[in-house]
Amino acid sequence: MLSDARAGLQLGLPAYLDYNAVVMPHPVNLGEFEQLILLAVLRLRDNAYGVTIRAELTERAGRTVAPGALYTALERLETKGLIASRMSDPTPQRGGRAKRHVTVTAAGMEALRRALRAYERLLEGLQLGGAHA
Amino acid sequence: MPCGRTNGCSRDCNLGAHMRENAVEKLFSLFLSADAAAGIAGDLAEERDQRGWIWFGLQAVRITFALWRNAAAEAPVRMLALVLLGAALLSAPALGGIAAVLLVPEWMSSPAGWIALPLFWWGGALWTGATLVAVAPRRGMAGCASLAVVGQTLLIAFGGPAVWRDPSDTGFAVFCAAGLAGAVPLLAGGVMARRRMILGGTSTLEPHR
Repeated sequence: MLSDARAGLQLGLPAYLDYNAVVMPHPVNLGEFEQLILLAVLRLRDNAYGVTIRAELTERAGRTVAPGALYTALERLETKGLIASRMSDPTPQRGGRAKRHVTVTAAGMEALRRALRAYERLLEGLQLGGAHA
Repeated sequence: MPCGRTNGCSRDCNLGAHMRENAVEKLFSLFLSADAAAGIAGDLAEERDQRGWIWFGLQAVRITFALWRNAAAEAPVRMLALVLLGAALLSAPALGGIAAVLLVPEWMSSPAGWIALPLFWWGGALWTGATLVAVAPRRGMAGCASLAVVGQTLLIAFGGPAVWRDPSDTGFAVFCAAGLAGAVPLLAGGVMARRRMILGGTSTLEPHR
C-alpha cells in the first residue's frame, strides 16, 4: 500500500489511475456452476471435453447437467479467458469429428482460488454439523 | 456407407445418420465457430449410440435455443442494436411495398401484383438477414432469429385480431401471411451469409464464442 501511495505521488493522480487500470487485472467472480465446471476440468486433466465434463459433474457433484447449459457456460468461461480449448484428432466414434478439449488457464486458476478462499473465510468459525439445523 | 470425413468411420454408418449429424453441426455453426460446432456435434454423436435419436434431436434443439439465448443475454444492448438495424433495413422494402399498394391500388387487382409484392418483401428480408450476419458475424444469426421472433409476434398481435374480425378482407389476410412468411427468407439470408463466411474461412478468425 505504501509503495502504491508513493507511485501515486510520483506519477500524479491521473497517470496513477491509468497505471492501476492497466496493471491490476479485473477480478472475475465465478458462479457456483462455473466453479463446478472448472473443478471438473481440473480433475479430468487432459481428457476434459463436453461428454466427460458432464459425466464428472454427475458422478462427483450429483448434478444432472443439460448439454445446452454446459456448452453455453464453457463459451462464457472461454470468453472470460478462464479456460482455453484445443481440438484433438477426429475419432471414428464421433462420426469423424474432433473432440474440443478444454484446460483451465492461469486466470481461471486464480478466479477459482479466490472463490475457494471466500468460501473458507465464510466458513471460519461455523459448525455445519447440524448445530444450526 | 463411408462417412465422407477424412478419417472414415467405424460405426454402423448409414447416410441418414450422417446427414442428420452434419445438419446439426451446420446448425450449431450458425452461432459458433466451425471448430466449436464440430466439437459439440461430435459430443452428441458420441452419446447418441447409447441414448438414441430422440435424445439427439431434442438436445440439438435445446442447445441451439441455449446458444441463441446466450448470444442475446451476453450482450443485450448489442443484440437490441442489431434488431433495430434489422428492423430499419427491413422497413425500406416493407414501406416501399405498402406505398406501391396505396399509390397504385389497381396494381394489386392483378395476380402479377399479388405475386410481385411478397417477392419484393422477401427479397428485402433475404438481404436484411445477409446484411446482419455480415455486419456482426458472431451475433448476426442470433439477431436474425430475434428479429424474426419480434416481427412475427407483432404481426400476430396486431394483424391477427383484424383478420379474425373481418375474414372477408382477403387482401389484408394475404398481406399478413406474406409478412409472416418473411421470417423464412430473413433466416435464410442469415444462414447463407454465415455458410459463405465459414466456407470462405472467415469464421476461423473468430474466437470460440
